[in-house]
Amino acid sequence: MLAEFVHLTITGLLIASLLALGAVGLSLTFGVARFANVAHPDFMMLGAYGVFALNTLAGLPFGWAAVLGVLAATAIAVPVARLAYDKLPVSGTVQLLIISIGVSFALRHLVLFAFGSSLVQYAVPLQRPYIWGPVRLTVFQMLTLVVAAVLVISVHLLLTRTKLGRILRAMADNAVLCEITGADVNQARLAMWVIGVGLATVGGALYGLNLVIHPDMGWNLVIPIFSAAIIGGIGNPYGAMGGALVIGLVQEWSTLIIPSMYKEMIAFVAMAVCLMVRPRGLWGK
Amino acid sequence: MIDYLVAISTIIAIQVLLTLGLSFQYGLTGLVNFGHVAFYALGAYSSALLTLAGWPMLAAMAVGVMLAVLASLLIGTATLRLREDYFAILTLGFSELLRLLLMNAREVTHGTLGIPGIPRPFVGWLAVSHQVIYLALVLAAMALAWVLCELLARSPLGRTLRAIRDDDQAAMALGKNVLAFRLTALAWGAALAAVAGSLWAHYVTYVVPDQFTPEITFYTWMAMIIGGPGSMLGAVWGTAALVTVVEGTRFVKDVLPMVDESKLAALRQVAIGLGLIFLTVYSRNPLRKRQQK
Repeated sequence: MLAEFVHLTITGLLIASLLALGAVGLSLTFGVARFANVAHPDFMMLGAYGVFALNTLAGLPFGWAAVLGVLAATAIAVPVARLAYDKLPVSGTVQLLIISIGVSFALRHLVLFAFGSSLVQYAVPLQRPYIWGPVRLTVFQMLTLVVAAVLVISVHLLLTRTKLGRILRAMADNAVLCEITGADVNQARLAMWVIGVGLATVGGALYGLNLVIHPDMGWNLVIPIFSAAIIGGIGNPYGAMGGALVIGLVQEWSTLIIPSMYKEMIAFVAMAVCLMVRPRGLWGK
Repeated sequence: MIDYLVAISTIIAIQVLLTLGLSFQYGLTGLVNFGHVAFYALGAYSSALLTLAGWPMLAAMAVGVMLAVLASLLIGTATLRLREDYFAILTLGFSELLRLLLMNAREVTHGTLGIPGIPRPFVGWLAVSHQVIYLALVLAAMALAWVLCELLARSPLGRTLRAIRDDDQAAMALGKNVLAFRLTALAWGAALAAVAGSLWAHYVTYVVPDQFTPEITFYTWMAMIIGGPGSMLGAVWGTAALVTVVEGTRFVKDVLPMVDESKLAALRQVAIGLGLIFLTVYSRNPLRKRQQK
């Protein structure tokens, strides 16, 4: 029982770090650009496929493939986001939301067209876990936890200690006022997409290191990631980290009492309950 | 060729029911329903399970409609007070949740295997093929739904719904129960979707959870946006145009034999995604008045 609990907790932490990389970016873009980007988890899918293409198909060693794959996916996804969300003559949250559905649809099926619909994985050797008592961790799992933690802390430092971070937080607060004070809003928006998309593609690359990937993976992450962001209070990147932790852990722990096939429902139920009881999120003011 | 035309017309007429419901919800009332397929699935599975248990078709359809209305009232009461983007995500989540249930409640729905052998009405009637009689039934349902939607949209109810869409605070200040009106619109669209699902189940004679992916929802969104959200006539011709074009692309493989079928299907979905973006940008926005404030 204890061993199983520890095992579930570790899996939950791993899932939470993957969700956090998606949810922090989603929350950031929601706060600044003010719409729910349903295509955000598909940027994770692009990251995973970028690494897959370079590692499994082109035969690069994993380290190089990971770096170049993430860069390539970000280089594709940022212009897509800029074009679809910043350059089109639309305004209004609902219009941008519908457009993001279209972006998600197009990206998913482009990947399907290019790589097929089967489950695939990276060409990395199977890892032998290190064992400390009931704790079992492979090198890749440790890498996932460390990279996620480092990135999340970097975003925190960026938001609190740099001029860009101050502009982004000001934009989330009041975009018009921020522009009046002379901040380069357009450039900050570009930076926001680079940060959000970059976190997502790294998250996707790590996802592929722990799980098999397929073109629908982004779509399947929509509910858990939105859940994490909403529970944390959407628009608040710090809340998103906490939200991801809650969803990741509760989802895994739930398998102790309910059939595991229903664990995907946990995220949705948590989000629905949170919105009804506390729409500003657990850590919202 | 006649068979093909009959099949296409049946598909269009069933899809029109879905589009009418969504247009009523979004175009007229401003509800961003991203879970339309859930109500369609409720109609289809109710019909499948009950007619196989010996119920008559209409009674099974009525149960499906009631279930869909109940579900819509439940979700609506819980989430309609929230902002429209939260409502959108929650309805989308609800439709995925329902699909997950259909896949996993094996004792009732047979999971991913689905339910085959749903009876098709009019089989064995003389003179004309049962396909043609079924098309007549579906067209009659579509025409009835269309007329009802037009009448409702022009009635004082429709006027109130448009007022709520444009400015819910003003409507509230005039003493309208905004939540009750929104629930009415949501339930009416859900009922139409359930009828569509029931007709679909009896037409294809089997249901599987894979038929009820969010793709149906977004396909309906596209059909509605083509015809103009809020226009009931537009829902009819928008659906006809979309289905004709998408079905037409199936013939592309005769022209391009070197592209295999699954790749072509993927490209078709890419086109649907891009089409949705393009149409959203260049079509009328029913929420423009509210957003101008």
